[in-house]
Amino acid sequence: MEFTSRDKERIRHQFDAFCKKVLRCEARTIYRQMARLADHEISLTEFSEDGANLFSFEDEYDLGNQQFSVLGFDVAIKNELLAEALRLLPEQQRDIILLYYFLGLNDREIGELLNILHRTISYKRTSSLKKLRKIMEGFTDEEHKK
Amino acid sequence: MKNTRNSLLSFDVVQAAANGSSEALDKVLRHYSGYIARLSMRQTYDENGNLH
Repeated sequence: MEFTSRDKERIRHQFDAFCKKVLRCEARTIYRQMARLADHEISLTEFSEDGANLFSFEDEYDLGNQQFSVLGFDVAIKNELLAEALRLLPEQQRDIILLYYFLGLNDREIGELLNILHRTISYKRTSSLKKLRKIMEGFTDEEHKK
Repeated sequence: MKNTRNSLLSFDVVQAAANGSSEALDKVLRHYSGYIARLSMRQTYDENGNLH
């Protein structure tokens, strides 16, 4: 492709304008990002006690919590209502609930531990959850009647 | 430093850069380094309200 010298001159100017525009816009984007960050950032020292508490965590020990043990794992339940309801569940269903929701295992892993198909686990888990809910609703109803 | 605002890159460099030559792109970058530096400067105020 051949360019006349006027074309070349024009292209040089266009290129110059293009480069400057890119740089300007890029700079604006960065400044905007910085401004947004500055809006959201708070210095740790400016935090009140309440704010600081959001990030702190108190260690809990098993004193007074209800203890369950599944396959050698100990699970402590703090909520008394939940603990009572769990005690009323049949052992296998209780184990599944504890393993899934408190020890964080998935259906397949639980199945391997208990020698049950994982599909069965999934079914049993949902059905025992329903059962658990019924039991707990029963508890709260009773309390309301009192 | 020469005034890069008023100087233009040569046509050959522009063409080479548009075709992706890394050598030319490096020249372009150096050509605009003054402009980049100027855009990167900010006026900030310290705790006493002094301009920097």
